[in-house]
Amino acid sequence: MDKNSITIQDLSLQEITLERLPRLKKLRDLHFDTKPEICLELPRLMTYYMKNLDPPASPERERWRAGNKEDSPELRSGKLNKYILENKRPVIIDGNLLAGTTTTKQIGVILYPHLLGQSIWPELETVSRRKKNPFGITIEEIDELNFEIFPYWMNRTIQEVARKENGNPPCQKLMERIVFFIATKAYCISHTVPDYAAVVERGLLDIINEAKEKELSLGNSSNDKEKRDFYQAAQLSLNGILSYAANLSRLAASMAQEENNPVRKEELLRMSEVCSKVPAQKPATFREAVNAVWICRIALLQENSSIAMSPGRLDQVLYPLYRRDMEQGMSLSEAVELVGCLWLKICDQAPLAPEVSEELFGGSGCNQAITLGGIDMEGKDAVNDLTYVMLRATELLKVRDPNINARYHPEINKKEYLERLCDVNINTGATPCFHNDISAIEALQGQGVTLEHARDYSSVGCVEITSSGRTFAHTGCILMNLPSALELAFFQGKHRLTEDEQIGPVTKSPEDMDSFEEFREVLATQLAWLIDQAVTLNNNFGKAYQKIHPSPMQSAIMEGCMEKGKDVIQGGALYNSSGAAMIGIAEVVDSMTAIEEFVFKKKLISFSELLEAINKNWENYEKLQAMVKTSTEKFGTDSEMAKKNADWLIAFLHNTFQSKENYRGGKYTVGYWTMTNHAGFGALSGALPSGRVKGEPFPSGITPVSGAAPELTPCLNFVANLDHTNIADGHALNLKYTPSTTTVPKFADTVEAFFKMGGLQVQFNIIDRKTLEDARKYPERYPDLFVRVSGYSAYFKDLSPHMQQEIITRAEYHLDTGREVPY
Amino acid sequence: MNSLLRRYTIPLNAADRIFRLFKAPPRMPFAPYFKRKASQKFLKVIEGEIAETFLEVLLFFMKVKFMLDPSYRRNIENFKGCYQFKSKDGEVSVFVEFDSGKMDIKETLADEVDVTCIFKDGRSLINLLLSRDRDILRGLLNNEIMLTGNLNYMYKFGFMANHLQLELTGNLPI
Repeated sequence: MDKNSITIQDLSLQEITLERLPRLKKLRDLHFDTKPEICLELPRLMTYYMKNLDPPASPERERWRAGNKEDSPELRSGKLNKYILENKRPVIIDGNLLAGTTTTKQIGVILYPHLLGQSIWPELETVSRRKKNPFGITIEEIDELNFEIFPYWMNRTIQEVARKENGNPPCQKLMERIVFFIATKAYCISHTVPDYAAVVERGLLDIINEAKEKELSLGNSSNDKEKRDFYQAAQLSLNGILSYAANLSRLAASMAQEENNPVRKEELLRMSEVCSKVPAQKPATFREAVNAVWICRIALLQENSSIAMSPGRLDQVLYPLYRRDMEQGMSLSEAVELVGCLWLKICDQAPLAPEVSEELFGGSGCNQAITLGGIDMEGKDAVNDLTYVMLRATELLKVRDPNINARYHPEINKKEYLERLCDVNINTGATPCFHNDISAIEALQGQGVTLEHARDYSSVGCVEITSSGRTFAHTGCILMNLPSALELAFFQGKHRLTEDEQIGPVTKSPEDMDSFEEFREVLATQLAWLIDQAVTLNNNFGKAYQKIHPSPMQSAIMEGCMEKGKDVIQGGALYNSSGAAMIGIAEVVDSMTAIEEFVFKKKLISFSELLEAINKNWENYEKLQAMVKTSTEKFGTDSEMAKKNADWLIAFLHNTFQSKENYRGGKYTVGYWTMTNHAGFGALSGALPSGRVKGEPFPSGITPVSGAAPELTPCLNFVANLDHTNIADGHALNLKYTPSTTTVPKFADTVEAFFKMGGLQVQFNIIDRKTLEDARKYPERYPDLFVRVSGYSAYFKDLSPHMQQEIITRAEYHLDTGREVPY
Repeated sequence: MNSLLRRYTIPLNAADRIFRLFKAPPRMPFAPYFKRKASQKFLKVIEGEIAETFLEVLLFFMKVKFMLDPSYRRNIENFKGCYQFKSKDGEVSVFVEFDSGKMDIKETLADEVDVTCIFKDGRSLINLLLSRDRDILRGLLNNEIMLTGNLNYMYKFGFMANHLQLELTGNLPI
């Protein structure tokens, strides 16, 4: 029998329902009824340790320095990790089968004091009462943050250390204008997939022993000293995880002693037994394996931000033990319940966002991507029974995290699997998203990833593709507002928002340009300058991490670091890259195309007249705006001109980013996904030659402007024919189908056709505008309505007004006719 | 800008010196008057009547509060930070220094500060700092506010300013 043969008869597992899984139903209800609360546990532990126990900062500093050498950053982080995990409160908070919680709350907001935790400071006394996404906090907690925790970190955050080290460089000041780009390392570095296969196949004790052996084999050179520090830090960190698991085991045992309900008592005893074994030892059952992954995940989120820390290919990692337990009598219901428990645990925390971020970029979850299906390292069909179990859990729970990404190989995976994916998408309205294995593998190979490793890719965060457990990519380190470069090109290095300030290089005035190629050259100059600023800042931030916050725990669970004796932040992982997401590509291509068509080819308008029109937000230029908007030369149509401009732009961005080196010696890759930033950056941007008016959201990901691509087939053709090897950081093509016209076979055929043409990724909201408009008006009627934003899913009620508007106006297609529904 | 500060800070500064000398809050004969005056001015400002004097009134009220309210003074007890507030038109340049429980306000441009806030007018500062009718987005859209330097210092200042507003309007969390 094939190792992955499908034994499930009904792939949709219809008989397993929430009514038959009361635990999951109760936990799901609890999830939606709970208001997230800010949790102080991590900042409290970090602050106490740094103030009192970290040798270079403790009161005994001088004495320590006299007798000892100062610890390396790695060792300091290792000791901090151990302290945090030893002192982290074990919590068994509800009827979940898995022990432990990311925070001490039912749904906690983790506040990372060394990152942007302090951005919530001005709002501490109002955050629990704000209209959008309020977070609970007590007066005592406000005082503790205001008087004890935040003051300590004022000069110790990544952002401020980088600023100080580099003398408040122009690139950092530029980012703080918000409108050009965001370098996200000040907020998180987590966009990666840890090597959970090692946790399940080896257990942490085995990894600790490997680190110990490697440490003992070292000599006395300075290089060996660095390696020794790393191995020690890795051991300290992993031992911290073991202490936390032991504390959970003890707590479960003591709760069992006091429990009167025999069923719960038995569950607690089993929980205690499981935590006494894993993740220290190699798990022997499916339940132990799920627990091992969960406990390691909790621990990793204490070291680095939860944003986009992605679990990866869990249907592959957990399958051998799933299969073993099924053979020994585990029922499918039990498997779905356990997977559902993990899914609900994964959404036990929410990201911190101050009010202005909520307004601009709000509603995002933590974007923790789980990848299903596809092919395995040998190129064989990797879809297995557990893939279907996970799909059923996703379908039943409809929660925003984890973000489910499905891989599909059109030549190897079975059509019935694709149909099941479409079925789940229709039933949930928004998940999973679809990745084409053929294109994704080619894109990764183009970045030097071996074929075997490329086949073992996972999605990170939204849609970014990386080889699982062996790539440190920070795939979302730069979020660039592409239309801002267009503005700099129009106004000789100035931007309408920053008025007379010279931002970019002074380039030729559009009035003096004789050809479209001349304009393109100017745009290239401004883009290259902006990219240079963003890359410099990202590298500055990366060096700040190297100095104050290495990640030895993450490194211990990442292929490559043990072999090299190096932290991930120093380039220890097998593959090192940084990913930059471009926002607003369709607007830029449509604007370029409008300039080419109307200014230079047809000569219907002068460049200065066009700029005058956009400066006036098309007021008194309505006729011109209508002409530009109704042009057929648009991104997402049959237009050769638009295609040529898109190809040029994508190639230029890829080549320019690839020419840069990150602080770990890796390359920069480019992606086209936007999270909610297309709404935020859109709000900050003026009118454009594409016909867009001031403040409108940009289209999401690599999606055409709403209304610009009225036919589905040319739209899919256009995106499929873009060179995906230049899109190695992934893209999100967001489409909306009218539910009444969407049938599984038709849906599956469209996806398959798109993939066969070379499309990289696509995702769908199966919902109509009427429902969305009603949900905007009456959010209380739709507490669990979730939608695909740009790569990930979010609850519609949590999204900012700009983002809600973008989703409502997003192009909606009738699948039976392939035409866009008029708005 | 500084008529209010000039008028009232001389006795306040004198009291401050006494406080420092004897390491205890001075008995200020006009304390309730100062506090009432400052509260009234601040309320008027945040109610939108005289937004253009917001910075002046805010700093005055802050100083009074630090002098008279030990729980509010705790915010700056072990804190050292220098702030520069500048209006875009160059009319206003205020340097504020916090040092171990003391707040100094000077009409000057300083060489070295932790954070600089360049603002268009009083309303844009209100939008940045206060929670009621907070509209930071508008400030960004209209290029009304520019911050340079260590933003954590501005976050702290924002908390202290916001607290005053919440207290005066009876909206502190309970």
